[in-house]
Amino acid sequence: MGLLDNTTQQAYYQGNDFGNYQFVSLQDIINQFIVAYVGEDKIIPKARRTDVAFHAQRALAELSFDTFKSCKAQEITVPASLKMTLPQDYVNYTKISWVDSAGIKHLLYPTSKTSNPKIIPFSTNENYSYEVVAELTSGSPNIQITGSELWIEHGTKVSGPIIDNFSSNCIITGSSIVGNDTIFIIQDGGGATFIPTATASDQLTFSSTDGSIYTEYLNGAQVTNTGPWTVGDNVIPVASTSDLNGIEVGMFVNEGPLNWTPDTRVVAINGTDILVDKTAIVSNPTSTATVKFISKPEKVDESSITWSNYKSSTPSENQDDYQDDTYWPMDGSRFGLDPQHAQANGSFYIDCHSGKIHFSSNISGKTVILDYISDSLGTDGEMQVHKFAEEAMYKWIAHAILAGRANVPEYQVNRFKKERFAAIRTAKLRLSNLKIEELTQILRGKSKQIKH
Amino acid sequence: MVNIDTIYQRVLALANKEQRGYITPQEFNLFANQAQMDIFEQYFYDIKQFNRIPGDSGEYSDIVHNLNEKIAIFERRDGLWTGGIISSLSGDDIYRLGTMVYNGREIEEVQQNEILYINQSPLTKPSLARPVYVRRGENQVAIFPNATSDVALYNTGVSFTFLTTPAVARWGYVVVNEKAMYDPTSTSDFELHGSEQGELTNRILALAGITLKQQGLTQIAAQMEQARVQQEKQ
Repeated sequence: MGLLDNTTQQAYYQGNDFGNYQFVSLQDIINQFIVAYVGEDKIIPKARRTDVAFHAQRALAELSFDTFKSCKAQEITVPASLKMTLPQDYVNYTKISWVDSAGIKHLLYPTSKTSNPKIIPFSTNENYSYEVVAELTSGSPNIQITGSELWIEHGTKVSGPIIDNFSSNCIITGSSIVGNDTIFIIQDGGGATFIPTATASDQLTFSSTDGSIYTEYLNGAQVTNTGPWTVGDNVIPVASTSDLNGIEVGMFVNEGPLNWTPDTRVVAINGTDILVDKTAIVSNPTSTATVKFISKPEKVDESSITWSNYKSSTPSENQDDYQDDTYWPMDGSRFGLDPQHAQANGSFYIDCHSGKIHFSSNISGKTVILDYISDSLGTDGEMQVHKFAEEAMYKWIAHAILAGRANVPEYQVNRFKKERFAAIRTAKLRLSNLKIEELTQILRGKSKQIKH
Repeated sequence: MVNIDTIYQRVLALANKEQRGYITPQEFNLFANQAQMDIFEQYFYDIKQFNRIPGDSGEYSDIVHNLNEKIAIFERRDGLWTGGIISSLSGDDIYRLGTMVYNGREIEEVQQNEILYINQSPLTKPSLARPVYVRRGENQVAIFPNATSDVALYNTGVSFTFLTTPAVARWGYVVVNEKAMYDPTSTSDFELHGSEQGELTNRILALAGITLKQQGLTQIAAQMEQARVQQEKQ
C-alpha cells in the first residue's frame, strides 16, 4: 500500500532520480482522477480519457504559469552579436540577470525605447518596391548596375519598360560583382536570355517570387575554383581554403533555381568542403566553377538599422566618466530622472519575430542567466506535479469537465469552481515555501533605518 | 448454467400438451435460443436503467452487481489484435468489444469523425502512452498512433476483453418408437446464469403460445414476466 514499497532505499540512493518523491506524474494524476471521480454514482458519470488528459494538460500549463515553482534557467556568455536565442520550451521570462565574479546575479531590465523592426524597401518614388537603374548594352546579355555592389538573389523577378517588351515574366538567372559594379543576366519563363537591341538605361523593379517585397542584400561571397559535384550532392568542394574567402555558415547558395535547389543553405565548412542542406540540380564536372553565395539576414536573423544603432551605441548605463562614485553625468541635476533608466546593470528586449533576446552592449562577454517559465508540457519527463498541488489538479480537471458539459446543474459547476479556487490558493501558499525562521531572520532588520 | 431439459419439461407441463398442443423439440430449440439472446441483450438495458436508482451495499442484493455477475459469464480476456483485425485466441465470437489494452494502458475508443481533430491537436494527439482506436468494420480496429513502428508493437502488445455470445442451446434427442427421447450426449445447456430459469420458461412459453395459436398461453407468460419485472424493479 505504501507509495515507496516498490523502491528500496538502496535503489534510491544508488539511482539518479533524487527528490522525485515530491512529484506525481501527470499520467498518475489522470489515472487516479478517472478512478476516483469518474463512474457510476460519482460526480462525473462518464468522461473519456482523451478529455481528461486534455484538461489535465491544460491544468498543468495554467498552474505552471502562476502556481508552480519555476526551476528552469539557462546560462550563456553573451557573444559579440549581443543576442541570445530563446529556449525551446520558453513561454515567458521571470528574471534575466548577469553574473559577476562572485556568482551574484545583477538584474537586467527590459527596455521599451527600441526594437528590431522588419526592413521594408522603400523606393525614392515613395513606392514599396525595390527599384534600380540599370545599363543595357546593345547585343550583350550582361545588364550592369554601375557603382553599386548588390548581391541579387537568383530567381528574383524583374520588370522595366524595356524588359517588359521582351517578356513580362523575366527572372534573374545569374549575377556577379565586378569591381564596384553588379552584372546580371535575365531569362524569360521559357529560358530565353534577354539581349538588348539598343544601348539604354532602364528603370528596373525587383520583386520576390513569393510575392513579398524584394529585400536588398548587402553581403555575399563569390567562391572560385569549386567542383566537381554531381546531381544530388550536398557538398561543394573548393581547391583550397583560400578560395573560401568571404563565405560564412548560414549563407545561401545563390545558384537557384536552375543549378541548385532554391534556399540551399551552408550548414558547415569542413576544410575545403562546403556542406549545404540541399542538393545540386545540375552536375559540374569541372573544378573551376564559380559559385555565388548570399547572406539573407531576414531568413536567418533579422538585423534592422534600429538594432544596429542600439547595439553600436554606448548604453546609458555606461555613460560615466569614472571620476567618482556616481554613474550619471548630470550629477546634482537629477530632477525628472526616469527610474526605469536609473540602473547600471544593463538592458534587454525580446524580438518576438526572430525569437531572440537582444542585450545592451555593456553585457557583451558577460555571463547571463535567463530564468524562465514553461508550460511543463515540453517532454513526458517534465509532466509532473508537486504533491502540494495534486488536489488542485483534480479540482481543476473536475471543474473543467463539468463546466464544459451540457445539462450539469449550475450549482455543481459553481461548487467545483469554488473548490478549484480554494485548492489552487492552498497549493500556491504551500509552494510559496514560507518558513517561520526565515521570515523571522528577514524581519530582524526592520529596526534599521537605512535599507535597500 | 441452466439445464435445458429442466426448462423443456417445465414448458411442456405449463403448455398442458393434451389441451393446447405439443411443442416439438425443434420448435423448443428455436424458441430457447431466441429467449436466451433476448435475456442476454436485456442485461445491458437493465444495467442502464438500474444505474439511475441508488445502489445497495448488500452482498447479494445490489441489482447492478447481480447483472454484472450474469454478464461476467460471457466475458473473455483472450482478444488478439493483428494488423487491424481483432480475433479471439480461443475462437469465441466477439459480441461486444470491451477494453483494449496496450502495454498496461487502456486504448480508448473514439469515433471516426473525431480522430481527425484528435490527431491534429497537440494536447489530444494519441501517443504510445495514450493510444486510441477507431472501429472500422465488424472485426477491424485501427489504433493510433499508427506509424509503421507503432503498428509492429501493437501486433504483439495489444490485448482486449470482450463479451462472447451465449453458446447455442439444444435439447438433444433420439427418436425411439416415433417419440423424441432426451439424449444428454447431444445436448447443450443454456449458458445463462442459474437465476434465469423462470425467465427462460416464461419467454419460451410466450413464443410457443404464438405458434400454438393459444393467446391465453402468451398472456399468462406475459403476466408472469411482468410480475417478475415489477418485483425486480420496484
